[in-house]
Amino acid sequence: MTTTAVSAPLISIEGLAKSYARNTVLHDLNLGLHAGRVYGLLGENGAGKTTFAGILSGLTHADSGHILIDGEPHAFRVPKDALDQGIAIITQEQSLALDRSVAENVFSGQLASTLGFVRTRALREQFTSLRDSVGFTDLHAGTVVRSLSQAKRQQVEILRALARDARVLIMDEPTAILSIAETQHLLQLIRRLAEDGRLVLLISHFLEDVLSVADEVIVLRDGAVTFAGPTEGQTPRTLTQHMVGRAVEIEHKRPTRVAPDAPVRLAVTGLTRTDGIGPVSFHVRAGEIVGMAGLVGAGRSEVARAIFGLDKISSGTVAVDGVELRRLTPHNAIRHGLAFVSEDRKHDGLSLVHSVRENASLVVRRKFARFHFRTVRPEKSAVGRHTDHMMVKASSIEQSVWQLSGGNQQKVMFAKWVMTNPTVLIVDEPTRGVDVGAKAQIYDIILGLAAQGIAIVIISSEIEEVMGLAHRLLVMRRGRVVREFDWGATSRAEVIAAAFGDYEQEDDTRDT
Amino acid sequence: MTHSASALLRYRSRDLGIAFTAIALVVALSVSTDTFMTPGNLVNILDQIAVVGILACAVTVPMIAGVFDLSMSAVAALSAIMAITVANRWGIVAGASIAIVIGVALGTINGLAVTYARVNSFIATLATSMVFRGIATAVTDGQIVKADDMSLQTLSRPSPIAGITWATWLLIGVFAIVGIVVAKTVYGRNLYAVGGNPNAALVSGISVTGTRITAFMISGGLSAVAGLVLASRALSAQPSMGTGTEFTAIAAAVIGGVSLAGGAGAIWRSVLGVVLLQLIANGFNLLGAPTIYQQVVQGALILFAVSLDQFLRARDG
Repeated sequence: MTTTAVSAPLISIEGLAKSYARNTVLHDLNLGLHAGRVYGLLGENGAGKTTFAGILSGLTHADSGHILIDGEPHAFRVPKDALDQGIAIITQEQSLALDRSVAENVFSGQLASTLGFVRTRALREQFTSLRDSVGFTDLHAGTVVRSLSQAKRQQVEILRALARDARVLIMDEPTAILSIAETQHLLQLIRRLAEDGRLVLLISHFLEDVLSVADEVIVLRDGAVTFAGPTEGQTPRTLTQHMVGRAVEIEHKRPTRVAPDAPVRLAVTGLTRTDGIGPVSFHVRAGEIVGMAGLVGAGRSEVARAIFGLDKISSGTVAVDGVELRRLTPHNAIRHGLAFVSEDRKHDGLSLVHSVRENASLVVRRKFARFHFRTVRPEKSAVGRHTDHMMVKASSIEQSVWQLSGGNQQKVMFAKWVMTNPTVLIVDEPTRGVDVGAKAQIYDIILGLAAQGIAIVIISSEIEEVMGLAHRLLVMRRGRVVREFDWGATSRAEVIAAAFGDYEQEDDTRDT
Repeated sequence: MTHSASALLRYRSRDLGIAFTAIALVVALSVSTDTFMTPGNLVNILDQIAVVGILACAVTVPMIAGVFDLSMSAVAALSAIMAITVANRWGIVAGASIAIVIGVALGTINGLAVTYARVNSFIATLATSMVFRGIATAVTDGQIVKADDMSLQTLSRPSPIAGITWATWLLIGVFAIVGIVVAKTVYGRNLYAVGGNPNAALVSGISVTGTRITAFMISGGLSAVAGLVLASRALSAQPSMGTGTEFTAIAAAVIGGVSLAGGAGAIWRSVLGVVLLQLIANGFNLLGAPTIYQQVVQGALILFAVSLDQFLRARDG
């Protein structure tokens, strides 16, 4: 770690404030950020992190206050203004031209050209030298971006920022989409970038990532800085305290025992997908929570999607309460009592333009219909009851879901599926992009549903989460279940080792 | 859990802006002309919007489900030609029935092309409209098909009630039925879900394919109804009839506030959009303004409506 810089800050933030309608998102922010350092920006959802990053990068505008760069005040109207000052942002929603080549994306807007014609060879050479300087050696200039994994696409975004001589890199949740090994590589790169004299602002939900890479942490709560200082001496516990104003520690208690003769509610036998993932066999008893751990791409979500009939299988069976599903389609799965809280809220979970009510009652809408006509009043009261039970914070059930925080969106998803009175509930990444407070509530919801006798399958990349909640933990690797652990019978390191396979065990440097 | 007063006002102003505009136009035209608020003129307006009004109801159904139907006037032409051909031989009831059956069948073809063949709905229905019109030309040898029976003309005649034509009543009937199906039924609900987020709809056990095919069947069937109204006007049908009307219908829907992205809109909005366009045309007529500028005003209105929607979205976001 570098020593505290005595030089003038590269970026000074003076009295920055921003509100949306009547909602104040940032009040009177004052910060000095120095070149050559990594800053971790922490806070719950809605604390103002993304807004702050947006103002710094020209995506949003502040209501008042100043941004000084090298002592000079600047106002960014559009992202290009910020880029001209060497500030680049890498957001969660990547902005790449998917059907163009890697090199074109990296140098888009500044392609080497003669009389308007792109100089292809110069472009390739420029790309190669830039790529090698960063060390993304397996990225090729001519590859079409669409064919790349999420992690590789992120590398393209980073290269693009560096191609523009960015002195300041803002990264919004860069590790959320990465596997453990990929995360390690990214964190190492962030350190190198700082050592080259760049300023990196890392926004993350993962406290360990921030603690391992940042020189300083800035914690926001309700739009104000509650802590700004060196990382040294901070622990996940102290940071959480700064974030929520109290110590929140999620301690998983031993889940209530499931009788060994409890009826098997979900039985999956030899399930093999047409893309070759599988065969997978497992069962879940009434009231039992079965966890699924593994790396991104190990096939956990794929198995869940196949069980639910969203993707095709080549062989295998799914039975609910002993009844084998003849055809695997979502409609049939729902009829047999399956429910699926899918991984990606925005992609296939919620219709963001529609209200909480419309979303929550989407599956059970027939229940509230007479001769196909909707009856609004019972629907409203049922949705209201369930969303209240899930502690959804919304101005009313008629509010559009895109206006809700990630945690509340997730609770709407739970309400939607619990309303179907499921026999089996499959939840995929239930706490992704959800803040600490909502996380604890979601755990309570899951435990409560299991206590009602619902069989639950939980998939999560947060190993503590599945280890803590599940009676039994299945570890998947390369499309198969490779290990099974009972609650409390394993360690994080052991789960990771199983997920990676023996040959890659040394990759787990993240465990502390 | 209630809306705050200002949020309610904003919701309402966004929702009812189109209605206020229409009312303002009515008031302005009543004051500035003596001829606007006469029964004859009003009956006339209502008769004139019948065809585009029915097509606007029709196109809104697939639009809410996130797909477009650009083949409506071709479907109208082909089914009207078949209607008259059949009516000349077996009577008007058989002719009208066959028209609707053909309309629904052609809509099914559109639906299959968009869902199973996975062709973008813009291209798919543009292509099928060429096919349908081509078939219409082949069937008729490019000639006008004349109706032998005068009973088809009933649609263009005044009804006993308030002197409104039967075509207007047909529009009112279509408006009521489609409006209720879209707003009040489970199927209507599925349309919004599919248009709002097809992936989420699929996970929720809704058949995206089925919902969209049915939407095209509805727009096809209603296109045939519009074709019957068109045919009743001239007591004949021909392959090129109604060309381009679907674009007016889509424009009306957009002016009324139906989202081009799917998932939002309502039948009453589209019909109000049609009324608004017709009021402008009528105003030009009554005020004796040069009609060449009518298209300029209508085009500008479309731009204004869409940019206003974008602005409101950006502000609320």
